Parts: sequence; structure tokens; C-alpha cells
Amino acid sequence: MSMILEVSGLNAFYKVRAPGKRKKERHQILHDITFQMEEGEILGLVGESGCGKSTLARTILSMVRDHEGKIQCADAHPQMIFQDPYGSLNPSMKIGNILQEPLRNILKMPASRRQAEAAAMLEKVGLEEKYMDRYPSQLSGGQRQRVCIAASLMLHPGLLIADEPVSALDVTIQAQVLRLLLELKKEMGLSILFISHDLRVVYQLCDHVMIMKEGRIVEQGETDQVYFSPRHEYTRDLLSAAGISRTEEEEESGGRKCTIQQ
Amino acid sequence: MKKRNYNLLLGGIITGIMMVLTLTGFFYTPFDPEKMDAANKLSGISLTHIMGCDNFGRDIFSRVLKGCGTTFTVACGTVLIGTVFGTLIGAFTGYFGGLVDEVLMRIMDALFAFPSLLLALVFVSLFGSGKYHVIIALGIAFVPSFSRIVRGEYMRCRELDYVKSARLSGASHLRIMFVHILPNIFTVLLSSVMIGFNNAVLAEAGLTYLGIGVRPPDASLGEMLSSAQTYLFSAPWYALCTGGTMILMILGFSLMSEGLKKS
Repeated sequence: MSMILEVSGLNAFYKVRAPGKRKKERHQILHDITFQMEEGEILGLVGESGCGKSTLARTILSMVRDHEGKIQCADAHPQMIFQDPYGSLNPSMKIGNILQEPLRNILKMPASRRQAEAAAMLEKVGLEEKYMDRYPSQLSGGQRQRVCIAASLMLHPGLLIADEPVSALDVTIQAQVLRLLLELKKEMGLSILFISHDLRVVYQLCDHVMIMKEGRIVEQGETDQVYFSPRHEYTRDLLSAAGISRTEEEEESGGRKCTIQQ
Repeated sequence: MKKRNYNLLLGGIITGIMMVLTLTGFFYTPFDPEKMDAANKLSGISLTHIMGCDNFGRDIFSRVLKGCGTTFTVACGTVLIGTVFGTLIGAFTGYFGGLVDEVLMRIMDALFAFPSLLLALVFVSLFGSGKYHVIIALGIAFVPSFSRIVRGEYMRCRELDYVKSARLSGASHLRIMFVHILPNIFTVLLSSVMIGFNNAVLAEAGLTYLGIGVRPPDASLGEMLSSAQTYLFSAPWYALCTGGTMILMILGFSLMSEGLKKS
């Protein structure tokens, strides 16, 4: 298996101005992050809010300038889906134009072809062509997130980073959007770095999981292994807080299925 | 039921009427605004002279029409200069931040520290008075306040997710600034343009009142108001009519900007 993403020894910093001080202080957000991601897999990244998950995503997409370490990505234009579908679509741009942006800017495609590609992608995410002329405010949250997915896939990226793509949506819509994401992943051969704090969703989706705490990866491995024989204290805490455990029956038979208690 | 936006409606009507009068003034006035008539010196309101005549017997209504045009041109020019340069400076400083921001904003601060009228005064006394000098002087004086507003908006917008996703879609910084962000701050810009217009009308009147703005024989509302002052008791309609016209002009725009803020 070839690797789509290799990160080793990554440190990232933010400059923060402490109250009352004139000088900005350099805060280390990420500490020595090392992981690999295989082509075609879904890698889950779990951790509480503020632990640096989004910073890691932004650093991989070279939006954080102040970093040390190696990031090697096999994809020239990795894309990202943001958490809030209300903030990530430009309110003054039509859906069609939002979708055409990457084709126009990066591939320099002529307008007529862009139009056709955008319409085709819109259909793929389950929206009709008429939505091309709508503005984001005319769409529901689920529809917006579908548009975001479509926009991120316009360049047929190898690597897609999904930063809590469904946390802002209703539970019923969440399932729909996740299903769509899985379908598209199969169809287009995507590798997805799936950031979430919802352990259930991660369990259903991901091949590998990384657990992050205070800017460090405390545990990583295959999903089943991390979920059912966690090595780190923090992982155990997270799992028990989410109410995920093996039933006794499965424990005896050594089964790999888990029960997710509601 | 939809609530009517009375501010916008009323402001629109007043501004509309003023626009029609102003435009008429460019092409047609009932009397020659420059023609003096000793017989009608300071004559009151009548059917032939609906706003009376001034100290040279010139028809005030005709002069008001002409003056609206001058005032309007000056205000528009001022706001245009202020908006264009203010938006450019504000966009660059707000979007990029850092050193560019520090340097340009300190210059703006220095410019801002002078009252705009004083700044215009210095400029006019250096380069001479007249309509076009007034426009440039006031325009420069208006740049800092516009650039502040625009800068704030850009600082707010550059952190938003849609800007990041535009970046991921390969848009250049210039494209993000003017294609992605600018349309989103349009409403803010529009209402500050309208407030700026009002300030420009007042500033022009102020400069002319001090005798360094628009020069006679160019009629402007400020110039008329300043000469009307002498005859405040003998011919009160002179000051009332010119002042009233100015108030209507400003009122219309303020109501409209107020209405736009609400909608």
C-alpha cells in the first residue's frame, strides 16, 4: 500500500498576545505528531475540543506557517470540509460559482466545461442542477454540507480532510451526509482524515484511529484495537464517557463486534 | 405581515425629489442664476420668484438648483475618492495584517488626528481653492475613516471558513479580497458611503462658509448660506430656503442609510 500522507515530528505554533503584554508569545499547539495514512483509508482523529485537531488539519493544508517537521502529501491539492456549513460557503456567491472556483483557479478550465462539471458534481451529491443559481442562504444545513462536499471534490483530490463535517447537523441528516461521504469515497477512491469528537461515528467509519490530547497523539492503531484494548488511560476515559464497551459475551468469544449502548 | 421600512421609503422619496431637482439644475433654471436685477433686490417670496431674490436681485430658487448641483458634485467626488482609496487601503491592511497594516494604519492615524476640515483647509491654502481642489482635499481627508471601517470588516472576514476554502480552491489573495470578500461587506460600505456623503455636504458648506471652498460665481449651498447670514433679519427666507434645501439633502441620505441598516 502506498502512503497518501506521511507526517513526522510535526510541531506547530501560534503567536498569542498575552493580556497586558506587548510582546506576542509563541505557544506550541502540536507536539511531535507522527503518523501515516494509507491510500484509500479513513483515518479517524479523536480528541476533545481545543486539543489541536483542527490545527493539525490546517497545518497539513499549509495554513499554519509556523511549523517544524515533515509533512509529505501525495496529493497536490488536498481539500477540506469544514464543520460549519453556514460559515464555509460564501453568502454572496451562487452555488454554481462556488463549485467552479477550483476549476477556474487551478485547472484554468473554460467556462462552459466548468459549468458542466459543476452540475455533474452537484448531481453526485444528490442535488438538482437548479441549485446552481441559488445562494447558500436559500439552502438547508444538510444541503449546504452537500454543497461543501461537492466543492471539495471538484479537483478529484486524493486526500480529503473532514473537520467534524456533521457535528453541526441534525441527527437524521448526519446519517445521510455520512452515507454520502462513504459512497463518494468508494466511487472516487478518496482517503479521508476524519476529525470528530463523536466516538460512535468514528467507530462506524474509520479503519484507523488516532487519539489526541493537548497537542499530542496519545494512541493510534486499528479502530477495533484502540476501542477494545485501549492502552492509554485517556483513551479509556474517552470510551467510558461515551459508553462504549464490549459486552461480556463478546469478551468471552473474543468477538470483534461492539455494542454501542444508547 | 412584512413590516414596512419607513426610513428607507421616506429617505428614498426625499432623495429622489432632491435628485430630480439637482439634475434639473444642470440643464434648466427658471432664471439665469447669475443675472442681477436691482429692482428685485432682496424681494420676498412671490409667484415669479418662489424663493425670493438675494442681495443682487438674483433668483434664489435658480441659484439653489445650481448650488445643489455643485454641492452634489463635490460630495460625490469626495466620497468617491474616499471610498476607492479607503477600500484599497482597508482591504490590504485588514486582509494581510502584520507590517503593512502597522505602517499604513499609523499613517492613517496621523491623518485622522487632524480634523478633516483643518486638513482640507491646509490643502486648499496650499493648492488654491475652487471646486476640484475642494473635492481632492476633502477626498483625502475622508480616506482614513473609510479605510478604518473597511479594515475592520476585512479583519473579521479573513478568519471565516469561506475564505479558507477559497484559499484551498486556489484563489489568489487579490481574488479573495475583491471577489470573495468585497461583496460581503457591501452593505457596510454602502451605509458608510451615505454617512460620508452627508459629512461631505456639511464639510463643503463649512469650507465655503469660511470663504475657501467653492468660489463665486459658482453657486453652492454653503456659499449661499454664508452670504444669507448677513440678511438673516431683513430677508430670512434667503437663509431658510438654502438651509432647508441642505437639510433635505442630508435628511434623505441619512434616512436611507438608517433604513439600509435595518434591512
